Amino acid sequence: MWRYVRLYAYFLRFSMSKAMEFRVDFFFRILMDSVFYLISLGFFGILFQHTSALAGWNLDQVLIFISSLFFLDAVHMTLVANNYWAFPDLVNQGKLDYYLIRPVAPLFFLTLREFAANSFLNLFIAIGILAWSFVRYPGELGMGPIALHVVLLLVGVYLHTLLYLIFLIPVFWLQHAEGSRSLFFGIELLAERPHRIYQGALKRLLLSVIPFAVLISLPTYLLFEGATLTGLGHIALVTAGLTVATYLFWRIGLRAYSSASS
Amino acid sequence: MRPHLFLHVASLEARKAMSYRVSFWTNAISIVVIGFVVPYYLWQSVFEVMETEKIGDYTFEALVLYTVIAALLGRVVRGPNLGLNVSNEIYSGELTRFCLYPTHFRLFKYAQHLGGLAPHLVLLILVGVPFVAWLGVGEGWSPLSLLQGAILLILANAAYFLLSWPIHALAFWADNVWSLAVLLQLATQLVGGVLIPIDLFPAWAYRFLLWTPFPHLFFSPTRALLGRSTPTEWLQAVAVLVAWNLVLAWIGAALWRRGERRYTGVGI
Repeated sequence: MWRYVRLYAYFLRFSMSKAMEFRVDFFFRILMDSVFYLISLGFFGILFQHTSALAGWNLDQVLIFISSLFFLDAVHMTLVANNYWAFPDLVNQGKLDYYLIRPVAPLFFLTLREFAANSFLNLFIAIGILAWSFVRYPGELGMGPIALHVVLLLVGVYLHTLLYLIFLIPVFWLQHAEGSRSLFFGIELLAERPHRIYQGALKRLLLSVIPFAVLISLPTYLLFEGATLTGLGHIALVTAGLTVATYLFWRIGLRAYSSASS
Repeated sequence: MRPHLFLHVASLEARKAMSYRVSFWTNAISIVVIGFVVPYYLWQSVFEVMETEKIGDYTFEALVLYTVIAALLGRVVRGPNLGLNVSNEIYSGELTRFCLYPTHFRLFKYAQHLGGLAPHLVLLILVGVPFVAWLGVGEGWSPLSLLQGAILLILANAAYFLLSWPIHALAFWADNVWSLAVLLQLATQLVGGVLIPIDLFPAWAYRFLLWTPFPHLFFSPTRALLGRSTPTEWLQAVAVLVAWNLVLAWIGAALWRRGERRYTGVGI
C-alpha cells in the first residue's frame, strides 16, 4: 500500500512539472471548465423561469444537485480524464505493454498516472460552488448529512471511472474507441438530470445495471430525504457489483490484446 | 483550388468517415439518448408540474421534436473534429507537408470538413425522419421551409468552420488548443439553442443573441426546417450569418497569416 502512495507522489511531481511546460493550455482548461459551469447553471436558471420544480426539487435543491455534478466532474477531470483519453492509443500502438510488465497493478497505473494540475484548480472552483449552494440553501441540512453526501460523491467518482473504463475496453476488439466513447458521453448525460424525471424500466436500469443515477442524483436524493440503510445498501451493492463486472471485463479484454500488432 | 479537386478531397473524406461502422451506430444511439430520451423526460416533468399545454410557443411534442432535430442538426453544423486535426498539424509540424501541396490549405480543410459530414447527414435522415413522422411537423411545414432550412444549414456549417478556424490558428502560439475547441462546442450548446430553444430565454437575452452568430447555428436552421420561421426571421438569420461569415473569414485569414510567420516546421 505504502509503495502505491509513494508511486502516486511521483506521478504528482511529474504531472506538475509537465503542466508548467504547457502554461497556456493550463489557463485554457480552467476557462473551459468555468464555461461548463456557467452553461449548466444558465441552463437550469432558464428552465426554472418556466417551472417551479423539477422532479420534486426546487431551484435551491437543483443547485445542490448541479454543484455536486461539478464536484464529481472536477475530481474526474483531475485524476482520471487525461489517462483514459490516452488509453485507446496505448492499446492500438502496443504501448500497453509498458503498463502490463511493471510490478504495479496495471489499472492503478493506467487510471492515475497523469494528474491534471490545471483541472485541480477547477476542483477548488467546483468546491466553492458546492459550498455556496449549501450556504444559500434555505432549509437545515446538517454537517453529518453534508459529509456523507461528499463521501457518496467520491463513491460516485469511483463508479464513473468504472463505467468509463467499461466503455473503453471494447477498443481491444474494435481498434477504435471513438464510437464507444461518444456513446459513453451520450449516456452520461442521463446522470446530469435528477433521476426521478425518468420512469419505468429506464429508471430501474439507471439505478442498477448502468448506474448513472447512483453517481450524483441518488446521493442528492438521500441528502434531502435522509439517508436510509436501504439507500446506502443499494449504493454499496451497486459499487461491489460494478467493481467485479469491470474487473472481469478487463481480464477478458486483455486476452484479446496482442501487443504492438493489436 | 480547382472544383474537381475540392470534390475529390470531400469524397475521399466522406468514404473515410463512413468506413467506421461501429462509430456510426454508436453515434446514432447517443443521438437518440442526447436528443430524445433526456429532453423527453425533462420536458415531461416540467409540463406535469406546470399543468400547461404550452411553454412559450411550444407544445410538449413540438419541444421534443425541436430538441431531436436541433441535436441532429448540431452534428451536421459542427461536422467532424476539425479542431483536433489542424491544431495538431501545426503543433506536430505536419503542416509543412501541406505547404508543399499546390493548393489552398483552408479550402483543402474545408473540403475535408464537408466530406466528414456524410455520416451526420445520413443520421439526420435515418433518425430525424422517423421522429418527424411520429411527432408531426405542424402546419407551418412546406417544401419551401425545407429549402430555407437547408440554406441556413449550409451557412451555419460554414460559420462553425470559420468560428473554429481562428481557434486552431492559435496553435501557432499555444501548444494545445483543444480545450478552446471544446469550449466553443460547450458554449454554443446553450447560446446556440441545442439545450433549450433561444426563444425560451429571457426576452433581453433573446434579442441580444439574435445579432450574434450563435442562435443561427442551430436554433434558426431547426426552426426553419420545421416551418416555424417567419420570412422576416429567416431573412434576418441569413443576413446575420453572411455578415458574420465574412468577418470570421477575415479574422481567420489574418490570424493565420501572422501565425505562419512564426511557424518553423520543427514540430514536437
